[in-house]
Amino acid sequence: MRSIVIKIVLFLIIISSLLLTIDSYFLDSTNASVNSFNSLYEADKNSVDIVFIGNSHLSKGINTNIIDAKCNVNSLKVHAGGIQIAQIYYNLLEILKHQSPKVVGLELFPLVHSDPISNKLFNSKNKMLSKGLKGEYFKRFGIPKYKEITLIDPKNTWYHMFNFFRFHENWMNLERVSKSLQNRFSVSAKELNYNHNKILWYLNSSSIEGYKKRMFIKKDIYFSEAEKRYLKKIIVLSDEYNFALLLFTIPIYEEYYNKVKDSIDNTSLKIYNYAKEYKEIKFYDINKELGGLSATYIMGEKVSENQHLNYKGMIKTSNLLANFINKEYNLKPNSLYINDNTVEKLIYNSKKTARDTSYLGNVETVNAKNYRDAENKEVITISLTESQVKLEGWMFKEGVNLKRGSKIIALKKGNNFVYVSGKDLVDNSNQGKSFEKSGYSIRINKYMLEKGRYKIFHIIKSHDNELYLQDMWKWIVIK
Amino acid sequence: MLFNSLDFAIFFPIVIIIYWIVSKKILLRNSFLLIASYVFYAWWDWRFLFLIIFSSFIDYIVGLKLYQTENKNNRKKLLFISLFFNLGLLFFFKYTNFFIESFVESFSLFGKTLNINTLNIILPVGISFYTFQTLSYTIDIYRNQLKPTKDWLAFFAFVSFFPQLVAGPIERASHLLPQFYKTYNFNYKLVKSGLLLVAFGLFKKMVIADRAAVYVNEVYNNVEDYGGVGFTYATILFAFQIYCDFSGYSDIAIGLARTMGFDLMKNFNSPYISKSLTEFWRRWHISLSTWFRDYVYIPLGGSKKGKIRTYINLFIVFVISGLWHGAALTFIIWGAIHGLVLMIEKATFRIKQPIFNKLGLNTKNTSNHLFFGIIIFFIVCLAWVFFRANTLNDSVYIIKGIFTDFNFGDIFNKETYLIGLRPNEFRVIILSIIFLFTAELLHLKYNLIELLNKQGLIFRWSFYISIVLVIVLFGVYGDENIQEFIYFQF
Repeated sequence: MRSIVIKIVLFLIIISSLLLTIDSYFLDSTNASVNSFNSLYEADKNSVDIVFIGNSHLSKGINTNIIDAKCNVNSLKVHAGGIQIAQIYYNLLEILKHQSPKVVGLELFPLVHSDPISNKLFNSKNKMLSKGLKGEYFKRFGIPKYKEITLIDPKNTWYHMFNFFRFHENWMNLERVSKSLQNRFSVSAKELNYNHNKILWYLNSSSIEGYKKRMFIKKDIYFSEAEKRYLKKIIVLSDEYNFALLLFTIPIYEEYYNKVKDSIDNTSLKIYNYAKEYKEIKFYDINKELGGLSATYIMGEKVSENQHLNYKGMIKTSNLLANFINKEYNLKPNSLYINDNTVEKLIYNSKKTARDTSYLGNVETVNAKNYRDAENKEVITISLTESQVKLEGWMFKEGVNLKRGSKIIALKKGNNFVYVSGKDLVDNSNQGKSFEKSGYSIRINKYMLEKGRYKIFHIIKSHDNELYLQDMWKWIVIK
Repeated sequence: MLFNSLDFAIFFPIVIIIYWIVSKKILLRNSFLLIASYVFYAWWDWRFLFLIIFSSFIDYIVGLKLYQTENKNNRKKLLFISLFFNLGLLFFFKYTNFFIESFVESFSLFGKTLNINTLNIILPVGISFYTFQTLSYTIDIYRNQLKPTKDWLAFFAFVSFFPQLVAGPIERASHLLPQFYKTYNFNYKLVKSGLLLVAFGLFKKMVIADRAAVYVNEVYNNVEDYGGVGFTYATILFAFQIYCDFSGYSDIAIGLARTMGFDLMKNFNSPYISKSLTEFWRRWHISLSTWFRDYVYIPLGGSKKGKIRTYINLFIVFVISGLWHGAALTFIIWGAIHGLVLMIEKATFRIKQPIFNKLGLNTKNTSNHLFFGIIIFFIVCLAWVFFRANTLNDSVYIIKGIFTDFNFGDIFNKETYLIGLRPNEFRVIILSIIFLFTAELLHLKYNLIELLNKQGLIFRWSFYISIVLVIVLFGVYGDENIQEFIYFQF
């Protein structure tokens, strides 16, 4: 009998281990929110200094590479699209299982949003309101996940607890599965999240017109009792886990903001005042400070009460937030966990470095103009009539195989705006013919850059993720 | 409670552990089995539990009384009481609305309209199965083929035995009831083979039947949107769906019972390899066909009252069998088709062989098996159209479509063979059917479980783990997708 029990237990252990091992692979790692959770699990335990929590606004609004670079910390953002404050609370519980951050930044849009789900949180049967596939699935097996699921769908808790049950039919779309697995094994979750949120388009004229014409209902923008309850729970956690709580806003489209300004500003302030009663909390209303952002900072989406930032907006907001953190907090990060290997880390606060003679390259043309022909040999000005910036050039670093590595361009304006290329940079065989794969070409929509003078940097990323930076001592000026 | 539900996945391990703890004390074990079976049934709707208790009570008392009296009239009266209550319940819950509708419709044929509303009656799950099981007990005692039991607990547990309570196999008291008087020693091999059978049943149900259902439901619920090729594919898939659904249930039931030491009768034996419809009915739903043989066909006279009467008896049995499946004209026609073809088979039985001999055809070679197998499969599929179609009009429309609107160009058209399915789903169905039939054909020659037991540890464990993973990954389940077993509605 003993051997039978051992056999049964062993069988169950093997099956459970197998299923739990493959469980996380059932999630689609091409999804930014999935990657935000995966980045939490990939990070070393208790290695993160600042955690940002929120919904899709946070996802599109904050670039943790910029925060890390400017504040010299290790930060993380954990988000899921369309979630409300109660779900954010459970996300925080999950985060606290793995990390002991010094600061937790809560983005306020889920509390300000006029959506009924965000306001009510629960229906009349005390079932948590949720929009489809959300953060509950992205969490690993454990108590926060269990608690959240029992509130959302108490009848099918165990079905939702395991991704291999809930998403067992993923095999029907093998192409997607293979893409997801490829993603999972190729780069880190943090980098996937970074790339996913790099949106390079902005509101088009018809959307702008739409915002001008549409009336928005202000009465649904309020801080409900249910929301208060969950904000208080987060405050309680901050005492329990000893972290500072930072409330902040991410800018929205100025046209919409101006129409609902009173409601949004008052609600944000009410939230802050409510939280302040319980704890000393810092509040940075970026949205109010900027008065919203113009169309070129906002992602092109349909007209609604819910706007997201594009890459340009993300750079701007992240820089402001980083400056605020530097000013308000005296963090003592553990240098062991600071990642120095990001483009942002190399460029923000970069000092003049000696020219690397084994690093060759040149920016040959900007919008087909050669620097040699320019009035000032180092500066090319993009005129008001030009709508894009097309850079062509080449870069080569001795000892780095460019077939397996990648080329990056960074445009730096002061210390508060750095545009880093991504998939918009392509190989160009007409450039740098002496060095295989060294030529590049990049087209940047001019409106994705702010006005001003940008210094150009070449970066080569080797196959083993080593970064090599070269200051090109060339500038472009956006009029 | 569905076998393919999380509730059951929690229920069964608890039951089996307690069962083996109390198994040595018969009284305790039977009490526990009875409670477990009632919980299992009440999970669906506790109110209908009283019907089972009532039915069990009637037949327990009638059985005892029948044994005590030798007076023929009294015995007939007692049998009548059992038939009246059991068939009365069945008739009320299953057929009342059918007869009201038929009555109203028949009046409309004469241009008269009757305003009689149908009743809002819920069909209790498994009523057709457990009433037939209790009836067989009383009839066997009436025929002096069985002694009644005095052990009411064993009898009640026999009627409500949860593995086969809602969809059979319809057991005979002479086979199953005595098993409630015995004690069993825990037999690891038996439990393991039972669990393997459960896994195989779940594979049939969740991987093949429920996935095929997506296609079949789409076509049969929207007949006007599809043509002959779609109908043909849907009907063939339905043939596999209903087989995998029902035989899957039977496998699970037999497997579950086996894990507790009980032996249930075999209900299916690779029916789609049959070379005649007679053979088909020896392989399909064996417990029901033998029930009808013993309690309807033979009492009607069987084959002992001349050829014509034999054919009529056969036809009657299959029409009743159709009606047993469902209270609708489509089921009656389904039964009638089977009855008719069986009559033809019986009538031509003696002249068939001499004709084949004259033509020099060897009926025992593989190609002939295949030829007749395909013909029988075709006939069975044709009858399935009536079984599955939502209305009689739909079934006529589908049959007409298959024969008059069959566009050969659509055979390999993705849009036709992938209706409602993704390409990978279609592949999974095809591969699973191939796997299933290969396994079943091999099982006719070899005992696959024995064969598996002879393999090395790594192979065996890899197989066990794989089958669990295949069900978890490729099965259809989830809060929206879970499908009841087709035979639950009967």
